[in-house]
Amino acid sequence: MDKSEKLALGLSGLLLVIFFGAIMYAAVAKDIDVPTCITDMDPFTTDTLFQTAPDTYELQMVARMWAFQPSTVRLPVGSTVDLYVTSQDIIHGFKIEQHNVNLMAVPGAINYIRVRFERPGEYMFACHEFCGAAHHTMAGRFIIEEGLDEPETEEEI
Amino acid sequence: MSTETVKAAAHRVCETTGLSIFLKAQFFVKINAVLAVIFLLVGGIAALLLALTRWSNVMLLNDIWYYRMITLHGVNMLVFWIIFFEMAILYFASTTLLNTKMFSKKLAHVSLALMVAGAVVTNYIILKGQADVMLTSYPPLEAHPLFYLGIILFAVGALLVAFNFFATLYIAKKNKTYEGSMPLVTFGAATAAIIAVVALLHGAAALVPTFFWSMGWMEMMDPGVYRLLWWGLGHHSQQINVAAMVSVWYFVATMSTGAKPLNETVCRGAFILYILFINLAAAHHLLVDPGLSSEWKIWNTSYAMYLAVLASMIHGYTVPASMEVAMRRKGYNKGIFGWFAKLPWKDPGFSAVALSAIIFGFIGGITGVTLGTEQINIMAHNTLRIPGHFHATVVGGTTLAFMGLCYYLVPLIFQKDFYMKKLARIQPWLFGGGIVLMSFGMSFAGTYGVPRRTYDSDFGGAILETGFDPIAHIFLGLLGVGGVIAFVGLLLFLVLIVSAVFFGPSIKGQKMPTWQTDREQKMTDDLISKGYEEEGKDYHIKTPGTIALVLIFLLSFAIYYFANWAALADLWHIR
Repeated sequence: MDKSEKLALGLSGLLLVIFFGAIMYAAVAKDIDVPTCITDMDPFTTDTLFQTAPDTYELQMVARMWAFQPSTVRLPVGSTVDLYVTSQDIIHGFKIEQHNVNLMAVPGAINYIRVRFERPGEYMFACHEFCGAAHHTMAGRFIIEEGLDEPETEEEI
Repeated sequence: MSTETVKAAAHRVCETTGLSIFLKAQFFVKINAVLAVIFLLVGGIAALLLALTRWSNVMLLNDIWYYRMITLHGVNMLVFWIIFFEMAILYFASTTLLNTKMFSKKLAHVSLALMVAGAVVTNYIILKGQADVMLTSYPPLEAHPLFYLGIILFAVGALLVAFNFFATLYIAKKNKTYEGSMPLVTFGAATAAIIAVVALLHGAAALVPTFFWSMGWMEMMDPGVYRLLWWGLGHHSQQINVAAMVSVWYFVATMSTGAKPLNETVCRGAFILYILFINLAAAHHLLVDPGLSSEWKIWNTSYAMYLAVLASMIHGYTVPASMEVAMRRKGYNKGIFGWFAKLPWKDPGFSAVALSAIIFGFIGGITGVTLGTEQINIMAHNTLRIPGHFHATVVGGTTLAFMGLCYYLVPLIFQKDFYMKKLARIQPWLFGGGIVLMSFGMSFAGTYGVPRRTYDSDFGGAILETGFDPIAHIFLGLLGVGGVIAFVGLLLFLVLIVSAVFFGPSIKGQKMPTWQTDREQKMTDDLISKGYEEEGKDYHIKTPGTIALVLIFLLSFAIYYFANWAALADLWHIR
């Protein structure tokens, strides 16, 4: 093999090894991981929000054509949320702006991720998988407020 | 050139390359290329309408037609245009390059009929409004059974072409119609055909039960399992495109500059890496799916994907390096990049392929690896960043390379010359430039969170009046402008090709008219004839220019990749 060819291949390979290292470092040392398979929970059909520890909540979210239940969630600043998402009908997507939440909502399966809301504000979430004619109306929001006593959810009818 | 094994009437000798062109195979090269271009037009019109709809100040279509047009666009571009064209490449690479006739003309007719029927049926049912399900058609979203049936018929036809291709390789080997190893371009086409078989089998596993379900004969397949199987089709077909595109790079590099690969073993090894590893990498479409463990996701999308990426990086080095060697052998030795400036940029076949390699590598490749990185994907999944990536690979890369090949296909196979050669020279720049702008628009709008496949980027119809950062709309505008420019480039391509093929001056019995000066063409011809004599020898000419390009590429790659990690770290509040 030509010398410069060896050099080009060696450098390319090295870069990819570094990239692989970054993935492993993030997953193992920084706990930045992709959603995994949830096997210890039955698919739910209605949404629920409850407190599991101080500042920690569990939210079970249902996606359907063409709304999320709940569509508005009010939480105090600093809340950590264990978020479970499923779909009641066809495949939907779920992404919260400016947060680490981006999940597929697949009927018959439950998706999970943990998210913390550290700053007050309104954060939109929207469906990102085509789910029929009114797909582009399927959105909702988290409202994060200072000094909120009771978390609340609202539903679209 | 041995002609003992074939009848004189069955082939003609190309005046330009001296290769044998077998008339039966030539018919199927022509007809598949013509069909490909027809579906390119259908997909292109849909593309224009989509660009003018996502351009949020224009919003041309209503919501129903927007979704219908995405389905039409995806199916015609990613399936019909590109696969018909690849069929033309398979017929060409297995006969002319191996100096053999095709295995079976009957089989070729049957496969052609199936593919045409499939393509027509699918287009009909989409336009009739009974299959607004996108290319991916995830159940339980249901289309009319004809939608699945059309794609299945088309796929069976394509499988038969692949079979005909392999059988032709076999008889060429048996009859010893070529000496030494199989030519690299044919080897690349064989890689594409092998991956096509794997892809189409996954497609059958996803779509045949779904067709039965739509007929009411079967229970619906689990939607999560469907996604797993469908991406075995959806992603592998992109790898067919990559393998076919890289084969075109090698072919056009030789034809336009006289380049020969530095080390064919390395190039062949890279093609084999595509076959071995890409099947696992399809998992990167499922990184935020439920039902799959994070270990499974990381395993399948890291080491396996990277070995396929490495293969592309190998081609990304050897193609320009072989050109650099060719140019330096012609005497263009000035500085590091003197050879680069003297490349045959006036040849639209060459400039299309050069732009294809640059867009595929610098935009498509870099964004692809980054977006396919397990955790980074969480920021990007299903946003406009994804089409921003794959329009740079499959349009700026594959489609542009195929356009480049057409500038050789028309004179060599159709034996016609072009009109409006000045316009032909700018066509690749217009199309490539439009795609780059559109890809940037998509990528940046996606960075602000705007999802793909969504009619109204503001979710204005939602009861909640929310939306994305207004800056996103500037990038949606860029998407629209880029899309319009690319469409003009596509239309120009069609006008050039159609006017040449149907009305162009015949060049039967003549050499292909050169796009370069006669002196440059002579140097290229000399190199090609020398290249064959010297096959297998190292040229021992250094390639500092290409090494510099590789360094620029790796640096851009690292910067983009780690910038995305930094952005992700900002979002990740859980430690």
